[in-house]
Amino acid sequence: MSANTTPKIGLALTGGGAKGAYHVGALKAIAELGVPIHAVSGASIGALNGAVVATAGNMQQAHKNLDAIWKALGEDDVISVSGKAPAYLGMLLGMGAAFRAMPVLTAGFTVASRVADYFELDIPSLDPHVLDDTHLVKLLQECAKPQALKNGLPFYVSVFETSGGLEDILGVLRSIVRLGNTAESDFLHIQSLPDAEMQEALMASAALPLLFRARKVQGKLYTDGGQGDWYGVGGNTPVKPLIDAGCDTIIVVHLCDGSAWNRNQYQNTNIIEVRPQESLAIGNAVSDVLGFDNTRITQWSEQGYADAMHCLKRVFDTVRNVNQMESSRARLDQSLAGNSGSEQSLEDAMKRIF
Amino acid sequence: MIIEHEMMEITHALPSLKQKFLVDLVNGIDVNTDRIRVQGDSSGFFSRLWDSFTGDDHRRQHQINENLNKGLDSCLTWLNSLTNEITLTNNALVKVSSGLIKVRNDLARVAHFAADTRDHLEHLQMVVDRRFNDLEMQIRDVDLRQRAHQQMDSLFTSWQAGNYQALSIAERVFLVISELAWGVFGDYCKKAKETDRQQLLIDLRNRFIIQVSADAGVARDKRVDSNNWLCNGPVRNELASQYLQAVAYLGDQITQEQPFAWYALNTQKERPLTVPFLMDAPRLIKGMSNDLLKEGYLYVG
Repeated sequence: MSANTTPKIGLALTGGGAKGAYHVGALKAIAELGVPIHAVSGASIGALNGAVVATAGNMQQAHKNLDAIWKALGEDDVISVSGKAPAYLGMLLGMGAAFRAMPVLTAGFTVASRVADYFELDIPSLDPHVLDDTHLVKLLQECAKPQALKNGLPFYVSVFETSGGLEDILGVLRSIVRLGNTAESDFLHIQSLPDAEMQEALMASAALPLLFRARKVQGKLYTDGGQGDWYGVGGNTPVKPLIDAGCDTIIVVHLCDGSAWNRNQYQNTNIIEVRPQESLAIGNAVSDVLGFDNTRITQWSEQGYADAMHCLKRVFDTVRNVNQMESSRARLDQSLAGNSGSEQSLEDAMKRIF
Repeated sequence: MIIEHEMMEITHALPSLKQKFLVDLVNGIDVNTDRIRVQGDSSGFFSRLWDSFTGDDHRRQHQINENLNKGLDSCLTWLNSLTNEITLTNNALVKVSSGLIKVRNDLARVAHFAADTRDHLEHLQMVVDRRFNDLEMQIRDVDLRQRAHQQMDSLFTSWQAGNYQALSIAERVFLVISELAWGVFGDYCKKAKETDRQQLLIDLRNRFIIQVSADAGVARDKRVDSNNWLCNGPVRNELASQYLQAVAYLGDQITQEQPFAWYALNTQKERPLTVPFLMDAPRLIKGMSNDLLKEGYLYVG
């Protein structure tokens, strides 16, 4: 590929709670490799990280800002947990479910609550908004101001129109056991929203049902975008809006081990997936999703850097080699074309002598 | 730290859409690595039970298989592309090789041509050198002949100017012949071709005959007393004495084998029988010539 036909590259940041620190490392690799990003999309924690990336101006600054924010997250209580929550979560973990994200946990929580009620166990009643995101909102207000978002890269967030917390959870459960699939997520173009709704949309994208309150955007109530197309992981992997925006190459950074998202559904787009090459699990599923502590953040960030560098360099090195081969072929063609002229010249000269 | 050279090169490393098969092939390996790893980690009883229940296991395997198949397809595409490239390269090599062979052949022809040209040039150089040498020799001959004539003219002019009046006519002839023999004239006679030398000596004899006839004041064929030719000149002074000494010196090797010359320098002695009492100018010159010319060369002493 020649330099003057640089592809339009999109960056899709998936959801995964505290494992979003993995994005920080991936951004570092993208910045070091000098990959130009033309549009960003995010789901859940990916939406919050994406806001920082979209407003940073360039990938170096994006990584710098993200790194600073995540270090601060590791030192603060980002999400305050009510006194009842540990009991819920501990019970959920006791179920040993192989949950891949928080909605599942909350779904499990719902089921567990019913089971607990049946066995008259002493657990709190189903209480929406168990987790307090005030601190997260404050951070977001500082890092992703509306004016900065307007001036930034085109940015899309994945949100899921809620039908009510319990209904959403049941929809996810149906998807898990293949009795159906959740509805598609909506992908909101942040720059198209009024200033007042920009941050609401971001918070909606990360609003795990039941744990965080739903957010109202454009007259609709939205929660975590990761719930959409649960079976195909389409909501949690916001590639579609980037394709619609004209990106021909999309870098997807996954926060989930063995994501079921299938790249083959996009036949006309280059998809480069950054996937964990080692398991991201450090503790249990709940603590990994809500574990905004320095140890986990540092480890995931380093892993994100190593994996992104590995995945991207592999592709870029191969493409570079092929391009060099094509370039050498072009030079060869040119050289061969020039050959005929020199042959004729030699022939003419020989005729003059003999 | 930003790796600057990688940033510089990134524009050459970004895939185009036509290279999608490459991206799918390379990135598909990492995708499958992730899925296979998770598949391996789900080996526990409940995990297997859960995966079977949800269909995740089947789905994951299907995706791995799909990726593998797609990867193989990409490999085939790439292999075909590489094969085409290799074919092109081979064809280019054949073309280059053919061109090289042609250039070598042409170069060999040019080299032969150059060698032939060098031989011709060497031959030409020899010819030209020879021609130059001939020309130089001819110029030298011409120059020598010219100077020989100049010497002869100079001596006869001096004679006509009366510088040899202290000498007898025969002595004058001897002096001039001696001067010519030891000078450029003599050199020329040694080197000149036979015809040129003979012609020059004929000219010399004729000039002698004209000059001595004039000195003696007699006609060319008028025989007079030999003493008119052989006796000392009328002027006897210091200069005459020096001339006489010079002539004596020049003729000290003259023997009676050269009777005319010897007697001209020794008139006080008895006349050799071969010197006639009466002779005309040609006879005097012939006699002196016989004495001083050997085998056609001017010879004195």
